[in-house]
Amino acid sequence: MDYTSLALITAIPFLVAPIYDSIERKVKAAIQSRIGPLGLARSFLQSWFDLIKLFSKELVLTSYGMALITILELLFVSITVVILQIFLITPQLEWVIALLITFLSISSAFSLIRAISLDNPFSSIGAFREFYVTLAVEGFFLSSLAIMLLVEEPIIIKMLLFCIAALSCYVLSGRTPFDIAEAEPEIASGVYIELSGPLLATTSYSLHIRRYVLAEILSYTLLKLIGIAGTGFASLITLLLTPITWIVLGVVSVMLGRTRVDVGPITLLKVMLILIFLMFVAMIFVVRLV
Amino acid sequence: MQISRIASPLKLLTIALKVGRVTKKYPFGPPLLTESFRGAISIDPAKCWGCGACTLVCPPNALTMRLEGEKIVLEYFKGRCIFCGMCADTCPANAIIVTKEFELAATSVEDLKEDVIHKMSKCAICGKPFVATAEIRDVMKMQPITEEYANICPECRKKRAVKAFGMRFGAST
Amino acid sequence: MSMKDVVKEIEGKVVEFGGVVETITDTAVFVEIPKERVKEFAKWLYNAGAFLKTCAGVDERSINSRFAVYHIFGLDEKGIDVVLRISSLEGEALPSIASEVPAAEWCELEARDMLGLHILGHESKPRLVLPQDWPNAVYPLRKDVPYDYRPPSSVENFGKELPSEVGLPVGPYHPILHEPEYFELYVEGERVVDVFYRGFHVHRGIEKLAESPRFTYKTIPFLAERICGICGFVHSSCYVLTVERAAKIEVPERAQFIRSIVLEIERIHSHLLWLGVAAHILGYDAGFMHIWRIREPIMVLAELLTGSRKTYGINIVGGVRRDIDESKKKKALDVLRNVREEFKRFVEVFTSVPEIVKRATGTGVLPKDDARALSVVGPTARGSGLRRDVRKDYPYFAYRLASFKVPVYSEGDNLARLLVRVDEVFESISIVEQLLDALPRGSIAVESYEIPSFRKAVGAVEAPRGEDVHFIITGHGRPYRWRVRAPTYQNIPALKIMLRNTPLADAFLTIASIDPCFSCTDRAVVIRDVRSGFRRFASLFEGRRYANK
Ligand code: SF4
Ligand code: SF4
Repeated sequence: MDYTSLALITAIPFLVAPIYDSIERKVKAAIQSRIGPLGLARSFLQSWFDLIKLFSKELVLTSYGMALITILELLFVSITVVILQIFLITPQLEWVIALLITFLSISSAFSLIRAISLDNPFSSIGAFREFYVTLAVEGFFLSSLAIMLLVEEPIIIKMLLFCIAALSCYVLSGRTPFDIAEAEPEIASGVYIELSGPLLATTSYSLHIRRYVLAEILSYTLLKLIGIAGTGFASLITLLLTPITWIVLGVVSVMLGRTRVDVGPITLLKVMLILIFLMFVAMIFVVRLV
Repeated sequence: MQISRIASPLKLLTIALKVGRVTKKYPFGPPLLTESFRGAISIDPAKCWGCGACTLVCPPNALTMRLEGEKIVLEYFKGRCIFCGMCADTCPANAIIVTKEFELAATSVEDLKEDVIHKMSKCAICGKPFVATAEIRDVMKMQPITEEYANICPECRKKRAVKAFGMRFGAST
Repeated sequence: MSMKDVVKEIEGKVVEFGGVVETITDTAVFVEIPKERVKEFAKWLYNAGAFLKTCAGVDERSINSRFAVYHIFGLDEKGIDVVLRISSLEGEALPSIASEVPAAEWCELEARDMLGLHILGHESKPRLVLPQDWPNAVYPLRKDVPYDYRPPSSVENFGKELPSEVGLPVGPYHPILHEPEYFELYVEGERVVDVFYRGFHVHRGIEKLAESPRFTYKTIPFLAERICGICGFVHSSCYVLTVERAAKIEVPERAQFIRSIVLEIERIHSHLLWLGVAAHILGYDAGFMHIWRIREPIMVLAELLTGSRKTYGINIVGGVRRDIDESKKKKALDVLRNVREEFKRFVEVFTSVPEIVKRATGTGVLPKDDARALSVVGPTARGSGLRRDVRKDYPYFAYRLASFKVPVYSEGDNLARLLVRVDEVFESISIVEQLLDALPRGSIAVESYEIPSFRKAVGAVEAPRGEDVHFIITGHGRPYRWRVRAPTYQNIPALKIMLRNTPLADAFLTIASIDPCFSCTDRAVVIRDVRSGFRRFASLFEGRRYANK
């Protein structure tokens, strides 16, 4: 594989993430019986327009720490997505998988750093909410992902692992009901309250890319579940499947309301534990059978 | 039962499919008004007498009257109007109609004001301007009063009446 | 017990307490009680089942050189108002009845602020209505203060008592309802442990304005309609109802029907609006969009019937200004049928969204006893098991001729209040249908009328948020005193109880669950203060027996 195509493939997420987001908005609008962004260009590019507009606004810095974290967050998600793209091309290299998982965990650690770096009561509440949600799924997500990518296991276990991964992908993508960290009506946008202009743009761009990462991982694990991962063809399918996964996640979120911090994470934890328990049961069965 | 309850939020999709999109591409497309809609009013300067009845019933004082030298000015300020139509109900000359206009945004306050200017008639006795000319004209059409009587301001009319009254009873003036 | 017996009993009690019965009308008994014994009498009335509607301070110096306070009680079961008058010379003290009837606290404080009455037991309490920089000896509702009086702002008065600790601020603009009010929530983790309220930021001086030469009986309905941005027609209806009662004007039946129809249409649109907002608060934006989509035809229908989507402007003393003809009637019935179907289908979806059910259940609980003590009104009362509805208890306009249910839930939580509103939408649709079918012929307004001076009347109309009460003393050309008590005024004190131990996330739903209308509640003076004052409000609520649970 030459360098141009490598560059191209790694560039894709940075370009298409806001486009997918625009499409999600259009689809959501349709479910809410609205027209949504008007016209063909806006249907696909509205989020890009929004980002550009935000970038062109004046910069207001409430604290340098905020700015630093915002930029670092973007940096680390970007590295994650680049590694993810490399992984897509060369799924055999185990060190890439290791790197991918490391960076996934680093980039979500930033939400936790936010929790301690803010002084505003609303954003601290928001950050702590994010903390709880991340805590409830992150560990399960990374371990199930690692097992899935590194080990070949029987289909039933694969299915359970996929369930865990899919649920975590949904939760970590910050959609309702798990958008409690930025609940606009409750805590005035929580973690985003002190962001505006270019900083807000940076943060939402990071969010778009994070969603891209999660959607692509989910698409990949789906292929893995079916058993066609690992070829160049499969990589292409993954790329094509990503927007569909993205939008499916979006559609699910339209039909739900926002959860509460003392309900959501605990329910999640319970579901996760049930899934893990089922997995153990399945494993025992499989071992017996063999 | 339980299943159908859990699946119930999904019915949102069927509802959305059935309803389609209801938002409109405003300001394109036909206006979204019903036949009874009350918008801004319009005053027909040709019909208006300048009697001021409308200014008395207008709840927010959107209609006001002021004297400018020998002119009487009826001012309509859309910025205050609540589109109630009371003025149209009251106007004795039917000079006011309620239109369906509602897109009234303007870049300056002055654009929201409309003036109807009336010349004032001078009193035939004391020479003070006292009423809009148009009012005398139209009232005379409707009421059998003579021009001589109508052209006199209420003050002088009173004086004249007192005088006539006094003369009848033989007061020496 | 028939109405006559009730009046007899009241008369007997009044004489026993050394008072006099002033007038008796079909809907109200006006009595005067010596101020020394008003507490006992109020207690007796309260224990006999009366709810306190409100009280009104009046500057009657130009009539009888006294200041008066009118306590307006309503005997819901009998459908009769009892208006207690106590009076004093300038500077004399008046007793408070708040210790017997907790709901009287706010209106007594308001009378103290606005008229400078010396009400015993309230001396040390901070200002409720007036802003902090308002000059000391100026009492806006006294007749000698001009209606356009504007005190010079004195910034020094601000900030003297800034709180040392600040809780979680909600306001001065409500994050969702976009109305000015200020709550300060004190939280432990994400659980609310205490709350302070400071309102009256948008006093517009409407009561005072209506007494000014700027307005007449004829134009006040349009002013009244602007008290509330959502249920304005309720206020104009209540105003004309009260004036018509005071002047004994017989309103044509057709006008009564049209008023009731439009009132119910307003209730439908208001409840749908609220349900949409509740969905938005709970993060279910699709619910918000769809409920507002269902609501839109109602708005258009209102425009068709009255000429305006909102603030209909068709009420005048003695009747209405727009008629409903056959073609409009047919269209209205069509719209209502569709709305009912669509709403039914959507409610099923709406109430099955797990987060909505989960978050509304068991949060913001208002027990029945507290609801009674605070005389809360509307869906807030009905969600707490109180069967209160002006349309049934004190039938007005054409409600006597419609059959409908009053939905009551006993849980007292947010879900109960939500379901009350859902049920009421269906009831209102059916009321409008019944009334449209039975619309009698005739004129829609009386030709002429006369309004004698110094007649008193109380009118109450069931707003979507609860009972709206107007009290009028007639004057020359305009009311001598016009007192408005919006439903939210009665419900806000209950928030203190509802918010305790509620998760922070649901605090906003809880505040919204009384369907607050802060602009209605605040009617009197321009207020600039948003920074201070709230901390001291601890004393306003604390130490009351109903708040210590
Ligand atoms: S004629 Fe009509 S529009 Fe003219 S001043 Fe009189 S009431 Fe007003
Ligand atoms: S429509 Fe109403 S508010 Fe407007 S000018 Fe006429 S009377 Fe005044």
